[in-house]
Amino acid sequence: MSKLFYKKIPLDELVILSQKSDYRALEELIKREQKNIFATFTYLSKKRENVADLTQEALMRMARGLINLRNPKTFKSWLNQIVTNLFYDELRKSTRKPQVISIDNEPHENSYHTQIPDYRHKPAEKAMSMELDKMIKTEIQGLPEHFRIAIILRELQGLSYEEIAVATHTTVGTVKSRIARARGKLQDGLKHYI
Amino acid sequence: MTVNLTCTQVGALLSFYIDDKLSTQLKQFVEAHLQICPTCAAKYEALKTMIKSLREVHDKMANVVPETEDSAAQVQYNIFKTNLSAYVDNELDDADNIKIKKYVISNPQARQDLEKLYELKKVMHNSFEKSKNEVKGDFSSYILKRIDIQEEIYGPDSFAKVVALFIFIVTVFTLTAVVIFWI
Repeated sequence: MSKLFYKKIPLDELVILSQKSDYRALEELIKREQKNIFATFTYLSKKRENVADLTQEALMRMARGLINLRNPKTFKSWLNQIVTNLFYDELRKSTRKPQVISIDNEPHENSYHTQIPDYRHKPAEKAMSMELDKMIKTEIQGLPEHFRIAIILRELQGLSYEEIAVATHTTVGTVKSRIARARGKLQDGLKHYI
Repeated sequence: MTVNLTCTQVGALLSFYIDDKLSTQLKQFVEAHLQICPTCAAKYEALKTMIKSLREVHDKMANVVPETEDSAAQVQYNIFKTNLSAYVDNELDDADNIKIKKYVISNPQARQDLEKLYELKKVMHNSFEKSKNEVKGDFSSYILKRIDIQEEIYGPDSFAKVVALFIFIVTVFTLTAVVIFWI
């Protein structure tokens, strides 16, 4: 069957075909989802260099776990659960290695050791990335992680509050308030741009 | 023309005098009387201090009361904001939906909030579509290759082969055992 044929298949059927070890269906599925996942991770992950690795890992988990997905209709939210879990794993990894600053060293005035960088507000970067698009990314990445994942799953992935609650192991009420507060913070941060 | 006011008259006028609500002429008459009448002057001082302290208390209360009203209003506003955001996502139940709709229609500030939310949504959506096109390279071939390798090692096919082999060996052993037993 031609590649064109696979391109026209709806997502549900593609999932079912992939589950039956149809490699070309799986290939098409990966091709369809990779952009979405990659873009999601560019908002989620603060480190740009990790985005490609995270995307690859998510796609790998998707391809491997697909056989265990019982209801192909829930594919989208299942995939986002993978993305969410990966994001939290990544967070745990990065918090395990906190930045160390020696207090034994002679504390020089204005010494490079005693100056702790503030990753949230990088003035130089902010000045350079005046473009709205980049501002949005910076603002989203500056949100607390629970807010970040909730707003991304909602706005960028289009999940319902219930699906987000399942993916992030919380209640619908929490999701509702997290999204509202994330929006408030974003509006605050972007008020000069929109 | 000067009019000498009586103490009763001045007493009646005193509070207006303190509030500075008398005409210039009347004010002068009261002032003149206060200078010559120590009783009325004492009354005036007493009334002045009382009103002053009352005002202070009132000002203090005025500062406190709006604050609590403010925070209550703030809580209300936060609830509204949360519901508005859920409204935009179409996640409210019917009753809350109607409430928000009515509120937005009647309140220009609320309408502005709603428009801002829609604007934010639009901007985020556009930004996301842009980042989708920033993807470099194609992951599919790499992942399929990795899966291929794993399936060769652990895949269902090889597992079936192992099981088949195992069953075959067991059968051979039992057959040989049976044959030996027979002999």
